[in-house]
Amino acid sequence: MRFILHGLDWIGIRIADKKLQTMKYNNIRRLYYLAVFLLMAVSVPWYRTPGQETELIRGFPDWVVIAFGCYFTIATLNMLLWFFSRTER
Amino acid sequence: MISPLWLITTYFCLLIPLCVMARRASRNGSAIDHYLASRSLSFFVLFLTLFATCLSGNTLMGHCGQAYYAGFVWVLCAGLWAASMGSFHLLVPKMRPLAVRHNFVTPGDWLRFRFPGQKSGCWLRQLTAFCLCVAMGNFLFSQLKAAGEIMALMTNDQISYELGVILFAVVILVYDSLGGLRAVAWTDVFQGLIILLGLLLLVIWLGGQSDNLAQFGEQVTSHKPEAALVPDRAAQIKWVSLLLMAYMSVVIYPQSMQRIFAASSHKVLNRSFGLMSILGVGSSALVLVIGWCAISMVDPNVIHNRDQVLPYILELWAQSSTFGRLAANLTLLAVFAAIMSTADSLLLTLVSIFKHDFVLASDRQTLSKDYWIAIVVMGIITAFALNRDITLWRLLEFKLELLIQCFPTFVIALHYRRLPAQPYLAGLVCGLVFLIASLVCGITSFGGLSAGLVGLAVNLMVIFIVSRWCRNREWPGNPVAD
Repeated sequence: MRFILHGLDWIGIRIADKKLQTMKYNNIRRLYYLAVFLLMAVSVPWYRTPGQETELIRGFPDWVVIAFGCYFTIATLNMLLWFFSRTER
Repeated sequence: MISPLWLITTYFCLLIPLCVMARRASRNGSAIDHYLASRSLSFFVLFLTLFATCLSGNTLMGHCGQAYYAGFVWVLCAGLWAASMGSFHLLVPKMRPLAVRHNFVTPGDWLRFRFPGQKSGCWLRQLTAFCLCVAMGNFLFSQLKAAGEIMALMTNDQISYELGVILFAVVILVYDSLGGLRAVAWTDVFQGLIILLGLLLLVIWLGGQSDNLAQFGEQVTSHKPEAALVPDRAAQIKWVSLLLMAYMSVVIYPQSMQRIFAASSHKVLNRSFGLMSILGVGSSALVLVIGWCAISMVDPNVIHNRDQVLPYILELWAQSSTFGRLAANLTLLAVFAAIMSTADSLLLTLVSIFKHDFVLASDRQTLSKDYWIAIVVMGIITAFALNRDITLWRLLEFKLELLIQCFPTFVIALHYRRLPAQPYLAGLVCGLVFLIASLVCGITSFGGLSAGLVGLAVNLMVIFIVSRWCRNREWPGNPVAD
């Protein structure tokens, strides 16, 4: 039961323990910032040779597809965090 | 293109009843009612006003032109949206409750609350207000410019660029003064829906030009093979620099801050930002597709300025069929709506900052001076906008460079409340001096990093140095101690 409550609590549906919830929310927020900076770093093709011709994925260079993927993931994570975020009182 | 002037006239006429309704709905003539609609914006209205305000003429015309010229590397435009929407997590959860509890109307109210009874706090508020006014004035100027360009193109120069700018300024001025934020937000709902519809129609038409997505990508690479190559190091550093700039500057937009203060509840605000983040990236993807399609459709010799790419595509669409003509007109109206919704919010915010943030205490019960301030501000910016020789993209960059200098004053001061105003003031002054000096010397970047970002580094370094000196000193009215 406690496991289920914590699971629901983690996705922001039920507030079982406000202190616990705040701690978890802050941890999730930290994870979110980390994920955003990692995805942003991956979106820039610094790990490829400049001027190199790359494989096309459905007509688009792979680095463009990766960048798009990163930005949509950031936007989705951002949306989830907004939906589950609680404004400080 | 067959004169769509009737469409714009009808559009203006449809806005009038909305403004009149907003005027009637106003509860009193106070600043909080005029600038924040008495904190009554519901989810639907708040979300669409945020969307329409953020999706400006720069986003549609500037980014479309950039995608056409720069090719695939301009995928970073979607990153700018993703980064900027994410940055609001730094501000909203702490700022919103303070704004409600202490009746903030303008960004300057935060600084009044944060640094009470400090002379340096007063100077910091005035200098920050000055930066915000210059950045917003510059932004409004670019919206007027975009409106003038579109009107001239639509009417085949029957309405000249100059006359277009003046007409647009007058319309904005009238409905802004009539109903304040309530009128702006209600008209933004209408404008936001038109923008979404127009963009979708255009992308559907462009999609019909290629059999599938793969063919579309191949068309771009065959017309511009260099677009598919991995960008060089300089372009990559600029990419990172722009992402960082967007992350730290868009959060300071006063018109967004105004909407944060004006939401009817925290929940409504969070949900609006949530939906905005995904729809913003989606819209920028649509704008990118339009710009990239233009590579295979538009001869570069025909385009004299990158801001003309989108209007030119629309002209091609209008020539294709009768439905195309109607849909192109509707999309043109969407561009116009995007410009208009951004411009009206900017004017409202500018007037509120001019009225309240430069003085020690301001009258918040009446609006007698506000109308005059609006007329003077709009008059001056319109006079500047009559100059046609500057591209929208450069204007957008300069605005971000200036706004990013205010990042510590809002975000760092919000999270780290032990410092008095002196370190922030010293940092802001040094950051601005650095930025202005580099612009005067014609230096726009340092090893690929924009001057604004390097200016922010100087700003933060000065804050750190001065804060070591201030750390153990007592300062009056510390809200944390209170």
